[in-house]
Amino acid sequence: MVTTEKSAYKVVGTRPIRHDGVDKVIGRAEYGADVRLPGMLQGAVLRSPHAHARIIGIDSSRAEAHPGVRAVVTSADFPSLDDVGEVARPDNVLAHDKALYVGHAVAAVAAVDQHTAEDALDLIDVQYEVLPHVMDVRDAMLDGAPILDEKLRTAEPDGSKGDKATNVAQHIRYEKGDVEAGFAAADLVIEREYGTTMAHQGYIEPHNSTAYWSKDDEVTIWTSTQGLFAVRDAVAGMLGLPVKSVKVQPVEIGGGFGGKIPDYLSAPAALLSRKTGKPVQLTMSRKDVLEATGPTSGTHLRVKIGAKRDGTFTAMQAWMAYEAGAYPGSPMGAGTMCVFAPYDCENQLIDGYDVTLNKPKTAAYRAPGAPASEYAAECVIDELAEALDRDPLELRMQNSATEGAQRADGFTYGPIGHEECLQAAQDSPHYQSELSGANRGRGVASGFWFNIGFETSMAAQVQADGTVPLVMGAVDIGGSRASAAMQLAETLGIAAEDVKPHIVDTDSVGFTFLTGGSRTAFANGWAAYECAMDIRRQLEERAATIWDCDREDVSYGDDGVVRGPNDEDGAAQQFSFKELAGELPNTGGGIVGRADVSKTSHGPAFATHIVDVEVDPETGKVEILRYTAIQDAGTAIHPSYVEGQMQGGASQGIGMALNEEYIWDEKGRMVNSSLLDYRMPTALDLPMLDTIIVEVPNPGHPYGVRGVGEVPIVPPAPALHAAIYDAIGERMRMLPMSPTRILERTLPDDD
Amino acid sequence: MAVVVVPPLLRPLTGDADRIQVEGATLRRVINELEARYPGVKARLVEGNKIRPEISIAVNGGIVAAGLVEPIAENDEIVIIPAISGGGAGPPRAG
Repeated sequence: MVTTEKSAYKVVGTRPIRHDGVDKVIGRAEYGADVRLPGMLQGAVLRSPHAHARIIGIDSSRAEAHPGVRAVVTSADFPSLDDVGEVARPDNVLAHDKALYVGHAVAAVAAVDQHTAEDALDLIDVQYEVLPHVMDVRDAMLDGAPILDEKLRTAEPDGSKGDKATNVAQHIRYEKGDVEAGFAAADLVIEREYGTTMAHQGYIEPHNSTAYWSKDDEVTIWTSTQGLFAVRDAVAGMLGLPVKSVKVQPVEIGGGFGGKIPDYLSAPAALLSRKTGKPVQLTMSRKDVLEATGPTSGTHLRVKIGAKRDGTFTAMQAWMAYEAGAYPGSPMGAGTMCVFAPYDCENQLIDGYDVTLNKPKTAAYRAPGAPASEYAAECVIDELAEALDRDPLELRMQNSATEGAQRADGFTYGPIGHEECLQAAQDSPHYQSELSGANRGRGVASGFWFNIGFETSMAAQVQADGTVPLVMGAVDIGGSRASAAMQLAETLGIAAEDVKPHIVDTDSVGFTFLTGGSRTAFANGWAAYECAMDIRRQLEERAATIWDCDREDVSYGDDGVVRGPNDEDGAAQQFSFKELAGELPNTGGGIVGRADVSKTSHGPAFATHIVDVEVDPETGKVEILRYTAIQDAGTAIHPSYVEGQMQGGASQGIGMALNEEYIWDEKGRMVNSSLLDYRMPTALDLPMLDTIIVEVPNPGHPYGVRGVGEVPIVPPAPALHAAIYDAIGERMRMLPMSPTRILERTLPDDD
Repeated sequence: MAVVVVPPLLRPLTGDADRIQVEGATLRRVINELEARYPGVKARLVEGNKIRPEISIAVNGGIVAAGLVEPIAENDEIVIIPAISGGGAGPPRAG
C-alpha cells in the first residue's frame, strides 16, 4: 500500500507491465551462460586448497599435453599485476605469489568441453608452501597474527601510515561534539558487543563470462555483471588494452545485490581466447560462487549509547572491525557512516577498521556495511527503550534525525522521511494489533542507506508512429528499464507502453556507472527526464517550423500536447505527440533526445520494520508470524517494484539474521558451500511480507525519487533481535540467531 | 558562499574551524581558496589534478563524480570524508 494519494502524475505511480517481462516469463531472455558462439571452448578454474600458502611454482605441461586441452593461463599471462580498482584486481582473479583463501583462483584451462576442462585441472601441478592462516577479525588484528601482505601498513585517520606490517588496512574515525561529556551527562549508559558472520548475496545465477579476442586485438565480452562499463574498464586495465578495444555486450543478470560488481572470469576468459583464437566461456559452480566470489564481511562491533531519563540520547560511540577478506576494501567505511545515521545526537565518536584475513575478498552486498553496524546500534536502542520503559518506536521518534540534522561524518540532511516511517509504523494495522501466545514476541527497528547519482547516459529516438526506443547503459537488476521508460513517458506526456527501453553494449551508449548504490531509478530518471526535455525542445522547433511562427510562441505541455498561436482564422493550433511525430519525416527527419548526467543531488532513504515471531523451544527455530516493512521511497515510480525491493531486501535481511553464515573448518575451508547447507530463506519459510510505502519526495530529483533497493535489508536483524528477546527473554548478540545459537542459550546445561 | 565542513583530523590545519565559508565556482577554486587561507590543506585533498584517492568529497550530500571541475553554487555544503574503499556501490564509488 502507498500512504499518500497519488499526485497529478499520469504515468509515475502506476503499475504497467514491465517491458522485459514476457521474455523473462517465457524463458527467451538471454543470460550469460546461454551464449553460444561458433567454435566456442569451455573453461575451468583451478583453485587453492589452502587458506594461506606461498605459490612456489605452477607446472601446467601435463595439462597442456592433454588432447582436449587448448590452453592454460596463470597470473604470469597478465601484462601487469597493478591494481586497476575495486572491480577486479589481477592477483585476486589469478593468484600471483600467494594464495590467500581456499578457493583463490590459481590457473584457468580452456578445453573442447566442460568435462575435459575440469579433468585437466588435476594435471596442473602447483607447489605450495603452506603458511599459518587467520580467520577471525579480532585474531587478525593482534600483534603476531599471520600477515597476509608484508607491505601493508595501516592508513590512519590523520593521513599517516603505520610503521609495521599489519592486517589492518585502514582506520577511519568520525567525531562530533564531546562524547565523554555526553556520557557524563547521561542518566543511563548501555554498552554491548555484537558479532556478525560472513554472508553471501545468494544470487541465483552463478558468475559467467564469455570472451572472444579477435585477430586484430579487439575483445568482446558477454558476462553477468552489474556494470558493463566497469567490466570494460577493468578488463582493459588488466590486459593492457586501450578501452576502445574492449566491448562488453549486455546479457540479462540473474541477481547481483552488489556481488556482481567485481569481475572474476572475464580477464582469464579473454587470455584463454587470445591463446586459442576461439571464444572461451567460463562458468562458476555454486561452490565456486560461495567460496571464491565476494560475500559481505563478518564483523566485531561494540556500541555504547547514553541517554537522559527522558529518553534524549546524549552520546553515541561505536568501535567496529570489518573483515575485508584477502585484500583491503571491506564496506567498513559505509558502515561507520550509517551506524547512527537515523538519529540526531550532538556527541558521537565512531571508529572503524578494515582488516584483511584468509577469507574471500568481500564485495558489496545490498547496503554494504550497514546491516552489521546498524544492527548493533538498533539493538542497544531496544535495550534503552526497555530500561527507560519507553515504546521503542516513540524513543526512536524522540531522537530521530530530521531536516538539518548533521551526521558525525559531516553530512547535513535535507528533507528526509525517518519520522514519517516511524509514524506509519506506529499507525500500522500490524503495530496496532495484539500479539499473544507463548514464546511469541514483537520487535521493531529502523535503518538508513544512501543513494548515489554518478554518470548516466541515455538516448531516445522519436519514431514517426510516436513510439520511442530508449537506449541506456545501466544494467537492469530491479526493474530499471521500466522505471526509466515511465519517467521518460511522464515527461513527454505519452504512455509507458509507447517507450521501448533497451540496454545496449558499451560502444553504443555513453559511459554509464554501474547498477548499485540504489542509484539506477534515481539517475536513470534524471537522464530520462533530460532526454525527454531535449525532445520537447526539438519538437517545439519542428512545430514552429510547421506553423511558421516563433519558437517562443510554441509550448510543449505536460499532457503531451504541443500548442502554438492561433491560425489565420483564429482557430487554435495544436499537435498531439503522435501527430507531430508523424510530421518529422517531412520536416527534417527523426529526432534524438540525449542526456549525459552526473548528479550529486542524492536522496537518503530510511525504513522501519515490524516483526512478530514465535520461537520453538524444542528446536530453537524462529518462525516469522507477521512482517511489515515501511520505507520512504521519495516517490514510488512503479509501486510494485518498490514493494518487491522492500520484500526482497527484508527477505535477505531475515536470512542474514536467522540462518545464513559461512562455516569454516580448522583449515579455513568452508564446509557448507551449497545452497542445501548455506540456508537462505525460501518462499516456504516466510509469510507474505506486508509493505507500506511512505513518500517524502527528494527535492533533488525531478520526480522526487530516493534510493529504494538497499535500505530494506538493514532493519530485519535488529527487529528480529528485539522480537526474539520479547519471545524468550534472551538477547542474541551474534548473527545469525540460528536454532543452534538459540538452543545454546535456552537449553539447560547437562551438568 | 558555499560552506566547507572540515573533518576533525584536518582541523589542526584550519585553526580548529569546522565550517568555513568559501567563495568559488568550482571545487578546484574552493580548494585553492582554502589553501590560500590555510596552507597545507590542498596537499591533503588533491594529488596532481585529482582528488586524492583516500579522500571523497560530497556536495549537498552526494559524492562528486566530476572531480575538481564539479560546479559549486551559492549555499552548497561541501563535506570532506575519508574514501570508502570496497563496499561496491556505497559512497563514494560504488549493492
